[in-house]
Amino acid sequence: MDPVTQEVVRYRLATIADEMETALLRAAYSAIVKEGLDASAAVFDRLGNNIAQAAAIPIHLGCMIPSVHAILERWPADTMRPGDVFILNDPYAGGTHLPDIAVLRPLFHEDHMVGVAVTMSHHQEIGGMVPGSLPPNATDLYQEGLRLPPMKLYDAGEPVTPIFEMIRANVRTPDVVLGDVRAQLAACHLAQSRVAELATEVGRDTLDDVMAALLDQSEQLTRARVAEIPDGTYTFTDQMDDDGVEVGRKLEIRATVTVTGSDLHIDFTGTAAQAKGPYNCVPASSIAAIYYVLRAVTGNDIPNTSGCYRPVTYTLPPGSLVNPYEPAPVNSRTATVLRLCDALFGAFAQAIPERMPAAQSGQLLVMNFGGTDPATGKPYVTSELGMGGMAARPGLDGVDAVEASATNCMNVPAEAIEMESPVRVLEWRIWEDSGGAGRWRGGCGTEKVFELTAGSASANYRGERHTTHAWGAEGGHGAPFSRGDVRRADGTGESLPSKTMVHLDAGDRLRVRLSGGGGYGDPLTRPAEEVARDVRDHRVSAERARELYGVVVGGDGQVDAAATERTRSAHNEEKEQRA
Amino acid sequence: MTGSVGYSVGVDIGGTFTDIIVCPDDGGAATIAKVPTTPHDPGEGMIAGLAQSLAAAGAAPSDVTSIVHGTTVGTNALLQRDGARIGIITNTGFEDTLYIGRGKRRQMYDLFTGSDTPDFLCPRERVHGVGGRIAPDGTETAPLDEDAVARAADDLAVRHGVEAIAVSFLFSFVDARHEDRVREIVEARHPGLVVSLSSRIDPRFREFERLVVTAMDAYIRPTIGSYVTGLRTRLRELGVRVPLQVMESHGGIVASELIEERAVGTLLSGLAGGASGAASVGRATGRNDVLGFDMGGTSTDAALVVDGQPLTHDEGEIGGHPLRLPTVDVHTIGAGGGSVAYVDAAGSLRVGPRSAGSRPGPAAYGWGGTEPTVTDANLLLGFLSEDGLAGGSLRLSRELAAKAVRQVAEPLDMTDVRAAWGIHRIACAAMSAAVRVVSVARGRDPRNFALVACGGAGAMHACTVADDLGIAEILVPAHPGVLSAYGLLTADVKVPRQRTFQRDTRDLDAAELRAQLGEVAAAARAEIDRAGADPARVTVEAAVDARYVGQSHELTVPVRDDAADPVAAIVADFGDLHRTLYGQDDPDGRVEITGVRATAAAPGTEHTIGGHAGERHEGERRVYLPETGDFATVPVLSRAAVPETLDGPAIITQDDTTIVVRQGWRVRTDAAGTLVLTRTGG
Repeated sequence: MDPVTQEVVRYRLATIADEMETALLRAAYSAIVKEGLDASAAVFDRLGNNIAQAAAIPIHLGCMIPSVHAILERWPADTMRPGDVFILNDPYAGGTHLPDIAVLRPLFHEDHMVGVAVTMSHHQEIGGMVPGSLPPNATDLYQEGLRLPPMKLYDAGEPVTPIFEMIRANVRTPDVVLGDVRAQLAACHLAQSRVAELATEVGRDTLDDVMAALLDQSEQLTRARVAEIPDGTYTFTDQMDDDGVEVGRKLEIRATVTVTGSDLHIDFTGTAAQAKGPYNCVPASSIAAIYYVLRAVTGNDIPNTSGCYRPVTYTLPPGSLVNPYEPAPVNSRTATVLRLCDALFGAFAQAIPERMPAAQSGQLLVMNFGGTDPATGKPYVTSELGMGGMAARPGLDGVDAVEASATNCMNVPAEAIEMESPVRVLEWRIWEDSGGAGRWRGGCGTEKVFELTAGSASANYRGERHTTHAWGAEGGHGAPFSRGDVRRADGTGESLPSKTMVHLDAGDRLRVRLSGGGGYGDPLTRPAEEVARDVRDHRVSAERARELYGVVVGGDGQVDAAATERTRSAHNEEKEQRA
Repeated sequence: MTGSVGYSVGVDIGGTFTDIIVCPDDGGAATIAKVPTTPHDPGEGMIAGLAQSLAAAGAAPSDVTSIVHGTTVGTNALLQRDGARIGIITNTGFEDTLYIGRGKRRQMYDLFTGSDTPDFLCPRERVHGVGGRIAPDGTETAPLDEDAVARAADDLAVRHGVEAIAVSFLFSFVDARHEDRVREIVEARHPGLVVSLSSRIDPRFREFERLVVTAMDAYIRPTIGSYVTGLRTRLRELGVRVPLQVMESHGGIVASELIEERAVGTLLSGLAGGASGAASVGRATGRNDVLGFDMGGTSTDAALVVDGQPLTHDEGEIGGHPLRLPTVDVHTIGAGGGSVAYVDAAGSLRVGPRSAGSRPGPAAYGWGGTEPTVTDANLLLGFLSEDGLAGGSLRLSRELAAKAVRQVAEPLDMTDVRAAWGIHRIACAAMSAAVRVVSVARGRDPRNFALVACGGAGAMHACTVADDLGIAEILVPAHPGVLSAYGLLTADVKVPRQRTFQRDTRDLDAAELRAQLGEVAAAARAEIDRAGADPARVTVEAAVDARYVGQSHELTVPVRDDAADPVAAIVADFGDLHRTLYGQDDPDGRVEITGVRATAAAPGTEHTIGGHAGERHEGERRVYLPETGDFATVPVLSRAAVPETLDGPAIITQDDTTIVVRQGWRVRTDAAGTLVLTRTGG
């Protein structure tokens, strides 16, 4: 392959994927797509390899690969016709969870299939037992919504009308859902014209050769980076709070990474059996965690194709949380993906501790407030996307209040929530002392107080890290637990479990505190001036500064050097005695 | 020498050079000067350069009829984090808005990425929350705690010694009374302190974005204020009698007094000058739809110009931080002549994103660079000559360039020349991708546009980029190195204003829409009267931001004056625009309006800066032709020597750029002095 042509065509393919993605996100209706950027677009070759992907959110990495395979198995390339379009969302036939609908279109140049355009969007609604189709108490897939096995949505350019009608009849907000499907179709259509133009310009055979060369390129670059990791087997275990159904029963995630030269094997043997509640990950979801961690470890300068994944093999034990049997419920799998990432990073940290952070906060609180506004008589559903903090890194504090793992959402402005619903945001701060203490401090999480001003409402509170910690590394401390509390209008109060449906009446307040990331290194070695700055910035309280960092900060926000020296030496002595 | 002819002046202060154009209003030849920028006091170099240029043009300062300035003083203060010491006053409970940001990270796979919010603007200890709350419908649900405001003001002014205070309260875009009251209290207690109110700077919803723009305004306003005040004094002392005008990020100009009240508008004026210049170059040749392609040593800007004006959007960014301000739609990539080529671990040839920068620069400069750059490749291909750049003041070393390029040629098992062509070609692919972002990805077909090639390197790559995009015409202005200054000279006086106004179009009648548009139009018009426009020439264009109910991205839809039912017209036009941009629309969908906009504008003066008065010389040299894969002897002409028509392959040289006319392109010079390249075949 001529390297110049290869690179020139690579730019073109990447631009096409980006353009598809822009069309998907800009025209989106679902809050989770708009603010959560929960949609991806890609160009595949005709054999089902990902050649160029625009992902705004890492959790979609690789997750479209099984959907393309599902289609190509049933409709081999020689049976496809120009103008065919396929749809699916079945987690047990190439999908991830029901709200993620994949729309795929084989790409033709004249009469020859040259590739496949793939889009995947998280839809606001796909029917099932609760509005929004994310029931925290689902116990099987049938409760979660409408299941779309791989089907033709367009047959040689003609719409298969009954499928549209069936979707319309089975979801609560059909205009929104079909609007987002329309955006997916438009993105696929755009790919057809752009890729056909490209094939005409460079020649169909050249395009084919370039696609093969791009896969080889990504593979070789990935192998070169994997080879830099010391050979060995590294195991790490983390936990999830529970599955929302068997409340209080922790779920173990065990990741074993084996590095042999430029090959990687990931084994989740030892991970909890599949859950009764909706926290199961079908393989398409589990491999997204593997691929995200792989890219974070090997570097983003490697072009993102299926070639990146050739050096990786994996074991996903059947019947476990990472490969459940049909029809286990899966709607809340995002929380599990985040924990899979924590466990994988923990394993890699043993091989390359100087390059790996502590645990990220490991949670994203996606919560919907639903009710009817008494002022207008209209029903509303308002989404909240709550974030914790980033882990401390060797050499750097974690960033406060940010998405830091396989998800990459935007939060929802307080003004947006208040304009859409009778929910008022009374406070939205960085939660003091929520980052793990360390030589480098974990980023802090957030503290937010919502008040319902009128009527009554429900909220699907789906928390994590309420009973398990975001862990510290190399002597750094873990972050505190996340917490949810309700204070009723009558003055009574209650603490929320990790996952529950919350009922609110006018005047009730929900306070959500989301933990930060873990700390890195011994907090007693953090320079006192940095601790004092944290105290002045309300990231660390004066009490915790003294207790965890051994730094005494006066009322003026300055370090008391003498008192600090005494406190630190006392702490160090204590530590030695314990040792 | 004072005569009856007036002179218009454009002054663009860049990081290295200050560009000055003095243009007689009777259409005579312009005088152009490039003088070194004086970073410690940019006004010093500007005034000296201006005096010198006026003298060269035979003009007296009193002959100046307009003077427009593009300034990066605020931009630099922000990028170098050297702005004013500011404080923030906001609602209790929202003291951390600046640090929380929006939560999304730009670098998804970088475990060592930093914060994406501009938290450097103000440390947390200088943020005060005060009681008081306005509801979304404008009702006051808690009164402003005026004692707390007074305490906050005293603490910020006295203990922290701030120069400016940014004030941003929730829903101040609906009702600004609390913010207005804060200003009164601060000004009464601490006269002279700059106060930026979010309800004045950016009255739109989303509290983080509004706060950032407001805090940036406070951060740069003291610096900009003293800068323009000083400049006006110096201009007066020099004898210039007309008011100083300044370019804003959206490509329009305003009186310099206005930016003392709202400085943040100048933050991206550097980009705006270039886009405005590309638009002017196009208009001078009768091309209203052009794509600006400004390629320099370390970065390249691609700009979209439609109907003779740079298009604007609200998604600018500065220093990696989003900036919600009307900004010219320019896509910048960090690639240019200095981009470094390398062979990756898979044996593939890659170019950039790393750059050799201005130091050490390309290997051929002989300043110690050893890595192969795009400029080195261009030298080996014969596109550049060893006689070099900047009118021969910098000679290039073919030997050093070849040695550098060999580092990629050897592992690829290619000849040096073949590798050099590969580097050039891949750089062009990156450039084409950048131009696609502002055309194809905006629903515009580049084949309907002319490419305006500017910057030191634009015209060297333009034919290949145009071929990539199917563009059939390239315009190279007489002075591609002073594009921004030219843009200043010809820009419109312009004041865009907008505010949040949310309504389903089904619940909106024409009278209410007209009332809302009327208010914002009146605000824009009142402002433009102060901006130095001739009232007789002012026009006001109204537009709305609209989306389907349920979406969160808005499209800006112009409001047609003549429509019988303006609401129905908006719905129809929105559907058309949605289809153009995203390939689909929803004829049954409900459309809602989220904001109203008005842009008051008075057209600028068209100036052509004339033909090219350079040396005439003709020669030839060996140049690589990709069509044959070999070198051929190709004519090399100075720009002044270009005949009526000339077919490529040919090289045209001038002091500030080199124009590579590839095979299949024909070149002529038009009346405006612009070189027009048209595709003849291939």
